[in-house]
Amino acid sequence: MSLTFIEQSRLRLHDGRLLSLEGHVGAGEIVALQGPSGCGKSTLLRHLAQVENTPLPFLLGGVDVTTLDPDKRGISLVFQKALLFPHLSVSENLRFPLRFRAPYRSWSFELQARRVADFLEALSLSPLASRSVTDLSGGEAMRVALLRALLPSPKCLLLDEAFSALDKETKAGVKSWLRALIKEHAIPTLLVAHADEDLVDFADRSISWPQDSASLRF
Amino acid sequence: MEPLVSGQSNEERRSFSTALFLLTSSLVVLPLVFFIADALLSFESSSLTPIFFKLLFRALTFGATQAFLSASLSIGAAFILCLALLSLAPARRALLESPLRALGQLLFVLPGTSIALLVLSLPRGAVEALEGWPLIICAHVLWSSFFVAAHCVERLSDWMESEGGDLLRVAQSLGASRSSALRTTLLPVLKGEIQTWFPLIFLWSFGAFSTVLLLGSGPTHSTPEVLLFYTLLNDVNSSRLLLIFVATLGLQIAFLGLASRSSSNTSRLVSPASREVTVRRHEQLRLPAAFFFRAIAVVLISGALALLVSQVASVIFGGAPPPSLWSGLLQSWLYAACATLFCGALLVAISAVDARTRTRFVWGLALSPVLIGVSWSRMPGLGISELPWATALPLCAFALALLQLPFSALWIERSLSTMNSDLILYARSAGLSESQLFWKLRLPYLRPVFEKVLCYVFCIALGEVALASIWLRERPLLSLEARRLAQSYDFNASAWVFVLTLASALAVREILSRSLRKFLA
Repeated sequence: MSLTFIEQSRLRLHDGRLLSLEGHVGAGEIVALQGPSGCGKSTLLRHLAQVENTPLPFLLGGVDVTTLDPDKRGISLVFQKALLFPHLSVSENLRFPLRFRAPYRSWSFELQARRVADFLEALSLSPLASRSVTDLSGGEAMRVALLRALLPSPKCLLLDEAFSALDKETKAGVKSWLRALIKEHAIPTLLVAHADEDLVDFADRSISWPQDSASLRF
Repeated sequence: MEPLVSGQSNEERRSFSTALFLLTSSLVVLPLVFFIADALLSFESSSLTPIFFKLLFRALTFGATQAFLSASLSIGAAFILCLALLSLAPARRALLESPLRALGQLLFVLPGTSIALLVLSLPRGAVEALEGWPLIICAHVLWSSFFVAAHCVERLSDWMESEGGDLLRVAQSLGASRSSALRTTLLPVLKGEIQTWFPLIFLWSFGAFSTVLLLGSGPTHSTPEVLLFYTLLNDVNSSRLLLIFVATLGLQIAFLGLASRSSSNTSRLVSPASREVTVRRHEQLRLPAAFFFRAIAVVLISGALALLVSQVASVIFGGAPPPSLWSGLLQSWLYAACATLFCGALLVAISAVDARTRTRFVWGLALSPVLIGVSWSRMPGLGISELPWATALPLCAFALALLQLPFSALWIERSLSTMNSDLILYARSAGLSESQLFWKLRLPYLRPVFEKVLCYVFCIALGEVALASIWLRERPLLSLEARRLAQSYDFNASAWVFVLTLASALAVREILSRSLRKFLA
């Protein structure tokens, strides 16, 4: 599975400029996007996940997903804030995508719960399973958000400054676990990051956001 | 929410809160205690006949049934409107949202009397077909559903613009369709709204007086409030009044207790498995439900607007109002202005007390305004016939303002709970004293609530019948005139009362909004 931009892949930025997107992100490849605040990095991720209702043509695993609704794309987006559902517990938050994404939605409750428990175990978060998300620290909430994004085996993962809330030690652990999982499942990943330390030992390559050029080459 | 009082120390804040609570409570409780003691001393069991018990039972069951139906139907209609609006694209939503908010605010400021008159002026056939309890429920649903819907839409729009919009995007990126995402993120917010509005509308409808007095067909369809009023009019029988009061209060307190208990247990009642089943079942109904909701939203909003417009038009082209209405309007304005002033002072005071004291006031919603009016009028020196008009008017206005205190406390509490506490910390670090924080930050923040509550109290005073009948019965107030006109089936004149109160409500809203903006700038 890879993410490929096509000739029509053009992103309209806040200042009205059109930015052509070229190249592709390979299966299991992690590409970091760097640039000044407000340049349009997060906008690109939101358009790829189609949560802004503006179509951005591109191919996912060789299939054109331009006309697909966000729920049909199989792309998981992790925002800068954890954005966990406040009325659900940690394990219910984690089970949320399994209720909607194939093939997990046809699984029994017990099977879904077991998958959630396995993922929690991997990040040593099992004690948090029944906790309310309002009781979590910023770092714990962010780890749960990352788990929630990975649980439904996404075809593509988009991380919008997802490590910024984590402390140094936790960040190193999460990055190595996440990288191994991305490689194992060959998930193309796009990461927006401000801090260079977020890229070390994680991203395969880094791309700077073009200031004057009208195209962004992956 | 951290208490923020114009005093300096915590000790002073606590004393201020306690003093205000004791002062306002004693104004309500002392006359009641006096009345209850008097009724117990002169208790006559012979006056409690089987017919009276039958009437009391009927009033309690009718009050509870119509209140339950009114609250359920209003909240159901309000949520259908909300869901319909939120499932639309933002541009289309904006088109329907403005009329709904306007309608909700308009109906919010209209007193119950006017709503009753609006229902009465429906085509004759419709009124006769619905006569009795359906007519009362229609009036309550008309009033409360748009009011709740406008409030919920406002709250949900704010939520969508803050974290709600992002939660919706996350849910969609995790595989939920737009309607599933809306349901999973929105329903918990709506659940909170149900827990707030259901008890309130139940209590409002249960304690409804004006609408039931005007629309109910005698003792068969009367709430306990109206039964109290009839008992008071026929013969001032303390034993009967006491029994009605105790039974009503008991029922209301039981309901409030049950509501507050169930609201804390609701989250535990929904198991993950049952939620799963509900989501799957709803998935199949997605398209027809969305279509149905939108159709209902359009019909409800346009129907209510058309009703209002046709009513105003028929009055304007139907002839001049009776001359007695003009003097009634003037005196009602005076009475309502007094009540609004008193309420303004009370609002400032309860904004300054801590959250716990404000929450304590909310229990006052269970008290019967008619009986409190009666108990005040029976205090030595405050009797109906003993007071001149110039004294009775401000006293009655003050009593009315005091009776709105639980409602005002609830609104202020809700508004302050949404205030960002970082703002206060920032203001403190910027060097503002406690009293400056109160006047420069908290009161301006509460301006929309002040605007709403003061306008509401003004309009309640315009349409208020209970206290006015007890204390100001010699005066041709607009509300008393409305009752007389409705009883004599003078629909053209009663429609004029509706238009006059509507015009007054709109004018006062404008005046209050401008003056408060200047005062709290």
